[in-house]
Amino acid sequence: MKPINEIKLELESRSVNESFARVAVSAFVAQMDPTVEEISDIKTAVSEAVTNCIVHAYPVSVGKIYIWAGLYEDGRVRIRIKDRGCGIIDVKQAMEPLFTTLGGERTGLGFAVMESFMDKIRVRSKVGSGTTVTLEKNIKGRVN
Amino acid sequence: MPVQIISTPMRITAFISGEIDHHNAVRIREAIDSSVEKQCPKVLRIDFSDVSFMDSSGVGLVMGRYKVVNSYGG
Ligand SMILES: Nc1ncnc2c1ncn2[C@@H]1O[C@H](COP(=O)(O)OP(=O)(O)O)[C@@H](O)[C@H]1O
Ligand SMILES: [Mg+2]
Repeated sequence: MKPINEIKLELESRSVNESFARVAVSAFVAQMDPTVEEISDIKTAVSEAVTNCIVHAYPVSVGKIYIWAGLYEDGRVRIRIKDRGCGIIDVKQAMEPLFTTLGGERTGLGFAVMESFMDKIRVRSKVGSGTTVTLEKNIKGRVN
Repeated sequence: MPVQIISTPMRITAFISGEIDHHNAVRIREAIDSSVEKQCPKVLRIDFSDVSFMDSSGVGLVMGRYKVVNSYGG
């Protein structure tokens, strides 16, 4: 199915852009008249995916993050967040709650948050060439 | 500053305002830790009532501060 509206964003993997990315995507989705809770779910999931590009995909350099979002006639929103970073060795393991390859203050909860706040998540990754996270949510909205 | 710190001899309270993501968590963490390390209070209280957004970095912030306070028996 073709989206009824779509956007593309390209940004540098600087942590200061985390808030820009989630606000931009949620402002785009706002035209579907989502509830405050739906907007906050989307913001949180986008924030997790973009942060992962910044801290994991490009750990020592600044790379590009490619965001695409599409709105569909039936009320679905699909968001794709892509990097050309280091990739994930074992996607299934990476998506397990509490699994993290970085110590410090990373909790290993990023994918768990994306899974619980969105209806669908798909992760494609290839070591050495990058990762694409696709998120989908059905917007029920304020009316009906 | 996204965090305001009120200290009494036994207790530090950190009032966080605004958004907690990976970017902001760094400054919030540094502000809380510098007060905590100076004073080693028995109790560290973190007040989230003015937080408008938080992702898993906020969870990491809480767990990290718990470890710091726990390390000296607070
Ligand atoms: N875009 C990415 N590029 C490379 N590795 C990633 C990416 N996203 C996630 N990962 C890997 O998956 C693990 C789990 O991610 P997540 O659930 O967000 O937890 P955290 O970010 O706290 O480590 C990360 O520790 C990292 O190893
Ligand atoms: Mg993460």
